[in-house]
Amino acid sequence: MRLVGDDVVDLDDPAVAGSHLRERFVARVCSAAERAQLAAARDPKRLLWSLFAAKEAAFKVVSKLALGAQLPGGGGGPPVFAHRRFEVARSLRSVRYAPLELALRVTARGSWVHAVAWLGDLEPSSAVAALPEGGDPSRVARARLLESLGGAGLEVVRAPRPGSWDGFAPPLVFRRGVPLAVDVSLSHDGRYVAFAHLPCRSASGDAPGNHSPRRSSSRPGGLYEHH
Amino acid sequence: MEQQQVMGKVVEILRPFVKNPDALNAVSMDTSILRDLKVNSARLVDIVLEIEDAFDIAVSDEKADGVKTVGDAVSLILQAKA
Repeated sequence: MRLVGDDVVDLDDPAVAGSHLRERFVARVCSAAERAQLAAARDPKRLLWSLFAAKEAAFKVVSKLALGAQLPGGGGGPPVFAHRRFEVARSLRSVRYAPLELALRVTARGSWVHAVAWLGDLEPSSAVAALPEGGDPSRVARARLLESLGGAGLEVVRAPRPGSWDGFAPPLVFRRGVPLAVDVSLSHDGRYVAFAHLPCRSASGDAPGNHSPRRSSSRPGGLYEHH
Repeated sequence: MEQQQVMGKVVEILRPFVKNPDALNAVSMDTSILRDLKVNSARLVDIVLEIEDAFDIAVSDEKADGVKTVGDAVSLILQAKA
């Protein structure tokens, strides 16, 4: 089982400016351990939004699991999106939701942070791109994803799904009407768009040609470069 | 408090977080906060806190998770105030 979720946050968006200073916001989003980590952080704003993005990314993965009723413990139905229930490791290398532990990569550069959470033995490919002036963030994110996957003949489809957090099922990639065996995630915030993708099965299957996912064990810990 | 009053107040709470202000002109109980108003999910936490303050209620994580539309928010508030 390989699944991926991602989330990007624009740190220059005025809406995120003072959240790290608002005790109730922090209490609503963070566990006790995370709050202690924030209190000691040199850059609490960047850390808060790194934690937040990690939780959002993990939520996307857990939601996909829930769609297939594959939550550990036999839990069916969608998870409650309570940020506190997604606990991020101090190292920013994993996120725990109940008994489930997801791998995590958090990249923080300049005025954005991007989190990618995943299940499985391969590390996802991902990237962040600037949103062109006046660009539609959803369209731009999809275009960047498809470029990364090999482009021609590919399309991203999100089917309506009443009851889901935004009314749609997770995105799927099709080539001429045939779904690809690749799991994908899209996100955008403010001036940035981002994506992540991961082959669902062996890379020798029908995944697109320019994949370069790596074994999880081949990566160093801590904050990562995007790739 | 009447439903219309609550809805008016909810719309005012949502206004600063909405990326699609035109959608507020045609807002209804069925309007999706994320899909139609294009509120970023990161702002939902702020909206929950604003609702708690404005209506002097406590909103649990489970209740907050169930709010998908403006009508969901109005119902949640009316139930909490009942």
